Amino acid sequence: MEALNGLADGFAAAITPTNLFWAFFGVTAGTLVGVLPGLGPPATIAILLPLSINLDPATGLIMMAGIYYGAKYGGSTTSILLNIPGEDASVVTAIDGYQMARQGRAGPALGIAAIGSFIAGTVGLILLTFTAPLVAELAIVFGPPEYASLMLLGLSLVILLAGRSKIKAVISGLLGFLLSTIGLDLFSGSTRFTMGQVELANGVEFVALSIGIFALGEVMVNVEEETGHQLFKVPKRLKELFPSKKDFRDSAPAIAQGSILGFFLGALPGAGSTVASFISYTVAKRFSRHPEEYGKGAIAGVAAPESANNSATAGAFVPLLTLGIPGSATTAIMLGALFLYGLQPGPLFFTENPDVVWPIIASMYIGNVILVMLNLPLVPVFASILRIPYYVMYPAIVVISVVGVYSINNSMFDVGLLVAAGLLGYVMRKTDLPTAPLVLAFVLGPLFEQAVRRSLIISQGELQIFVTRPWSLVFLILTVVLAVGPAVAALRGSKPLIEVETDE
Amino acid sequence: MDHRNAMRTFAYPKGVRMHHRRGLPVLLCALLLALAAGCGLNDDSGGSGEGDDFEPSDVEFMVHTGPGGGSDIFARDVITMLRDEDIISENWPVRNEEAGEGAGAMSYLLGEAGETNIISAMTTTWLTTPLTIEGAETKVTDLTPIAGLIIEPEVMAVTADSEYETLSDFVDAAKEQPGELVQAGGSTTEVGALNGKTIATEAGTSWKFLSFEEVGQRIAAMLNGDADMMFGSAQDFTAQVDAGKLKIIATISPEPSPVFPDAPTTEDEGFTTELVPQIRGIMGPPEMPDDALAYYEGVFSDLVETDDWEEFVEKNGVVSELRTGDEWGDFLAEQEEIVREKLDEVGLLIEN
Repeated sequence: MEALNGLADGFAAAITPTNLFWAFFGVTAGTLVGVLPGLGPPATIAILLPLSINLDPATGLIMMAGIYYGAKYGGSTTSILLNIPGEDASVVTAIDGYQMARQGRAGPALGIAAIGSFIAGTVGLILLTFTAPLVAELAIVFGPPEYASLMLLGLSLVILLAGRSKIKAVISGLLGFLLSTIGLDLFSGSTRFTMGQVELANGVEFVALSIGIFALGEVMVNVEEETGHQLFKVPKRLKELFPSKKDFRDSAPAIAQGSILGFFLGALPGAGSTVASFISYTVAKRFSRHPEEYGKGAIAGVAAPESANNSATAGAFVPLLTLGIPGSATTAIMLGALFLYGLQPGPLFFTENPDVVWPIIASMYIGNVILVMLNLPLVPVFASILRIPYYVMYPAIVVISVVGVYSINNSMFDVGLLVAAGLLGYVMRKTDLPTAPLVLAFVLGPLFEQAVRRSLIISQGELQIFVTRPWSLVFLILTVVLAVGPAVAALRGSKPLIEVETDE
Repeated sequence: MDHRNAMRTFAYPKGVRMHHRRGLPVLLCALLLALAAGCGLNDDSGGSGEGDDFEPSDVEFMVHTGPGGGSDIFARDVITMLRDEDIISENWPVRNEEAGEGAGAMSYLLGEAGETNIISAMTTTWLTTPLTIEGAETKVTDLTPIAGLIIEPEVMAVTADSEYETLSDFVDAAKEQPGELVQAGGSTTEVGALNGKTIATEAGTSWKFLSFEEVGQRIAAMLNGDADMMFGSAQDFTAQVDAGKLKIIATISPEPSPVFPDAPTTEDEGFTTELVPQIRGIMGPPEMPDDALAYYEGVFSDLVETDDWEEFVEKNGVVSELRTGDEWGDFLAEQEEIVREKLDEVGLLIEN
């Protein structure tokens, strides 16, 4: 009940005009930052740091938190409408969201993204309010072997459960894995596959890669097939602009699991909302009765990652507020801001600074309500963007992509990378290689590689470490049950459990 | 600690202190400006004033990390202090050149040879990068040294219930089981890794080094028992120490840590091999004109005299050590030589 009292005090402090104003400012700025590719929440918060430091600590943090979770709402918009992921955690949303837009269902996709975000964000906050100390213990238990097995589960789910051709999915996944190895190797200190280019020492820029493969690749294919035909079906009736009852039914399980999974993955230092969005997507697909619809405009394929990435932001506050350990780039900057205020987040933060912690948490409940009220009315406005003819739309997509990617690092090299990734996306579409396994392996691959190497350093090269640690064993068993078993069964030609081989 | 007081004393520019009613437009402008800066609006008109009153205009302050990274926050704090004290009159936008752990920033400076309106923050990473990353051809010694500002002694942390009470306890345990104990840290080329190796070598033993990207992951690895100890900045540990989760058992430098003055230094513990310090300073492009160099040296010499700086140094648990011009250049050359030897010993040295 301590938590309820704290929360009540928090609400009392959060509902002052000043705090409400800065919460509103934060979520609005966050939405904008999320919509536009390039400038992300960590950069925005860093740039606003000198200004926010003049506010009260609680007020400043309320604004920063608003930018953080507001960006997760905004990130889905360009993913769905233009196939341009506005933010790392919205990359996976583009897979089904853009297909929905092409089918004239941009409205329901945007609507379910906002509603799913709201529900999951709120569930995440409830979990943060009541379970933070417990979850913090769990986050600490997660060592290298646990991460390795968890990432193996995620990777095998997507690759082994791929659509028509498993071989093609494996090729695409391996390509993503290979691309992820480019750059400086943390363990040996040497550079891998950089060909002497210092620009590649930090690795391939994820935003450039994903925007290239998704947005530019798509534009190239469409321009080639240029027939002047209508690319998008434009919804005529207002009813088509919002999710139907069936959409809600289809999305409900995805929102539910995204809320829970996202929170826990967000709480793990080193995992974060991008990983959460991918894993939630693959879980939704694995347990769907129609996995073949994924990649072709399944609404649960939008609901799952958008729910998970919002819930993950609440999860990311768990290690920050209870342990003083930031779980993501954005919370790392917020930790820096807390230091500037003269505060020391750590295991004693909740008890010593309730006047700062609870208003932040309370403001996030309020911010979520503001965001859903802000975003839902905008759905028809955004959806009508699709009325723009393709000869205007395509150049606009290219310009937004180039400017967005350039602005991340002020780097023309990244723009070159974007173009190369665009060509790769084009070739993949022509050869019918799925793009999802590539981006997934690119995100999860390095985490998997590092965790495996750390585990083997700890165990002196003994593989038993993966089965002697309980959580690691659980994930390995899940991998066999959920992914490897069905895949082997399908390959043997016995009755496929979940996959139906069909022609295009 | 009373944060409100801390805030008040840690003064920020009065001009920036805003009324809430005007907050939105001001912030929106800031956001727009930031976007404009992000889009690389860059005009090359350096200041052309001559004589003693030389003050370059449109100065950019470069850092090698992304927004929110260590050097980025450092630069933004420094600019705020400089403006607060009226040492500079114009805002200096921060330019993030993230490529290759400092390699991109160094080669950018090289390309601005002779310019007066660009300077950059540097760290020890600038010494290791040219010696470990293929293609990182610019060395710190190719650039104009402006000022060295901070030396940051790393401290050694273990869990509060650890059996180790001193650095020697740990080293003795490592001697009994060479290659078994685990040090958590970042990349194998960073300061903590090099110093760990140096101490192990001097003691005639070895232990494992476990790399993690984030500091949080390293602390978590100690708390769950996967790692036995780590080196890091005092700031990384204070909250955990206050909460009784970790304890600091040594300072990994000959000088004591201002935050944990009771932690014995490596010299107290009998380790005398030279260690690599964590340093922060300011560099300029090659062939920077004398008047510009004198101007920047003056700016940073003034900075370290201010109260804000004193408070900043105390808050961050670092040691202020001003070096300017040739003294700073010689110091860097000396440090580069030490880093080169260390990297050579562990087989990570490459020649670009």
